Amino acid sequence: MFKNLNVWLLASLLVSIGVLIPIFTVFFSFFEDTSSYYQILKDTFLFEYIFNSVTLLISVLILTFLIGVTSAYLVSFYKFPLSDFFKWALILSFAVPPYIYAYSLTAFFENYGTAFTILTNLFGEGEYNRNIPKFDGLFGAVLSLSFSLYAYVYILSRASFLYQSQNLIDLGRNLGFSKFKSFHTLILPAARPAIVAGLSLVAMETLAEFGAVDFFSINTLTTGIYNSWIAFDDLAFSNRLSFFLLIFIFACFIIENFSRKKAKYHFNSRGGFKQKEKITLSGNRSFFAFTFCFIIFFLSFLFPLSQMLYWTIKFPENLFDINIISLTLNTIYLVTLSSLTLILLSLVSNYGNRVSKSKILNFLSTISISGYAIPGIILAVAFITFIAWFDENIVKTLGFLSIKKVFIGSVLGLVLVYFVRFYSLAFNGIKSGYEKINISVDESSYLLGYSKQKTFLNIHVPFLRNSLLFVFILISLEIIRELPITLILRPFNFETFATTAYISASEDLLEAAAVPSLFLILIATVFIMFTSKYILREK
Amino acid sequence: MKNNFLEIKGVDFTIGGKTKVENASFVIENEGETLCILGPSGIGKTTILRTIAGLEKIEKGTINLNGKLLSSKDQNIEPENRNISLAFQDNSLFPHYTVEKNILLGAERNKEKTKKKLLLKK
Repeated sequence: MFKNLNVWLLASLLVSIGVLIPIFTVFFSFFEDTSSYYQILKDTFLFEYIFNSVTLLISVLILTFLIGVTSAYLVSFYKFPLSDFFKWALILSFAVPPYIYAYSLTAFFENYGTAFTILTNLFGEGEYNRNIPKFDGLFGAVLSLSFSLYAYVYILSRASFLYQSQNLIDLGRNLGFSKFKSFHTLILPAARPAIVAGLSLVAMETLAEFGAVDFFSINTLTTGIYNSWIAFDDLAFSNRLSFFLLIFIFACFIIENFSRKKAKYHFNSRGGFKQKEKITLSGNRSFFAFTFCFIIFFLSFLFPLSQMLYWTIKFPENLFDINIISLTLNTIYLVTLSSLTLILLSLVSNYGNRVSKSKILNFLSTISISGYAIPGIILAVAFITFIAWFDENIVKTLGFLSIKKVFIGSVLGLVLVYFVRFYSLAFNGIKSGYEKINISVDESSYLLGYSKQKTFLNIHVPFLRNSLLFVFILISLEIIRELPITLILRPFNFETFATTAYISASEDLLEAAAVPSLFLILIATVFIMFTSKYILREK
Repeated sequence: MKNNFLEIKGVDFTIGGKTKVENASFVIENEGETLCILGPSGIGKTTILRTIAGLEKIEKGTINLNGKLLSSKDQNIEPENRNISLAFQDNSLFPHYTVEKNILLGAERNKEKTKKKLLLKK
């Protein structure tokens, strides 16, 4: 390895090790002493934390599976009114984070809420409150998470359905299968890896969710981590809970891997693939397909958007209570700084992997992208733990001034933790672009007299331009919606749309949360529209 | 004593950790001569060419061009500094560039070298 040590390998190693520090901190912190709070919690609420997390997880997985797979199946196999519109409209739910969905749900169904106002306007004054269902608590959280996250399952299932050969469908017909039987015995099992990948992302996001579950006051492992640190000032216990959550997440991965065994799902791309023909629906079937997709689009996007818009118009004074320019600038500042850092270092790391062919680097890169699986709240706590340890044991021992203020409660710290959390998005996004560049292109370039640096700058970067843009937008979208990391690590008086909405909502000022929520949805929608062409590409 | 144009001496040609050709020695005496390497598929013909071009390293033996050591266990001149060209079996065009730009990429290096030569002559 040392024989091949060069600047690319070294830089890539440093990036991977840097990303891994908070992840290892969580594991090592497990063995530290905690306060008596741990014993109290173990005897009382720990079971509730785990039970709620599991219930939430299973319910959200079932609902996202049903919504995501059905809508993907309808738009991939059939033509019906507005089917081309729904194809991309169904991914707009990404613009609505679960916590904003939770605010909308409460705002609409609460006593004297929007539903009450609509009924009063339609039918005059009456005792409607007792008849309006209440979507709060665990059920509210399940709905908020499901309608916000089903798009993961939708996108991946749709991509998989799209690449299924017409031969598979013809085979079903040949065997005398009905459409339903073909669907559940041939089409669905063939799309299994994509569906499971989508559900894994949903599982990770559900276990990591903080905003919505905190809003509905549900005790899960994530809120437990936050409370043990914020309310009980017990960082070690926070880490111990994080460890449990991590074990949980890794168990999901292992179960999925084992369940797959050695089954292969890919199709032979040579000769065996026949482009699928979409079936045009008519009559009741067409009506059902349209209604299903419209309801999902309405509930996941139009409903929260119109609720936030309604409140913004109804209470216009809230528009002037927050400094929209400052919030926009803060958001742009964070997005630009983090995205550029992520893209630059992920590019270096990818190129380092490509030219060094080092097995150690490859291994480190593979595990370093697991940051995305780790909830933001854990990363934030792990980051603080590591900085505190480093400051106490290294910096102060060497006689330097404390570095805590440089990293904790600063934009630098925020960007570093975003880096760890979203590194896999940037790394994998660029990697998939790199996979399209044949290695012999690099070799041609060397033989034409281009050095490694010149090959990187003159050949690779122009080639990867589209991938880089896609990664930039994807990371921006995540950072705009991100809540727990920003909440814990932001500098004093530094707010984003997400934190402003959260703070207003946690003070029970849902009307005030509407303005930042609306801006967040609108900005995220614009970003999604830019990426939709990549996300939904059909070639 | 006149140097051979290309001299391969006792080289083990290796790719991906597998030795394809062991202890090979051959020479091209003069520039412009043609040497034909024949053999069944997988025997190591491409590995020999890639190694001479500098795309693979060697652990044993030496490769010299015009008396200058290109490759040995301890020394390896990078491919971009060897001025050796190789036509690949598979497609290795730069897909994001036009045909013109693809052709000119090689010419650009020669342009730079010609410029340098002219400057040195001045």
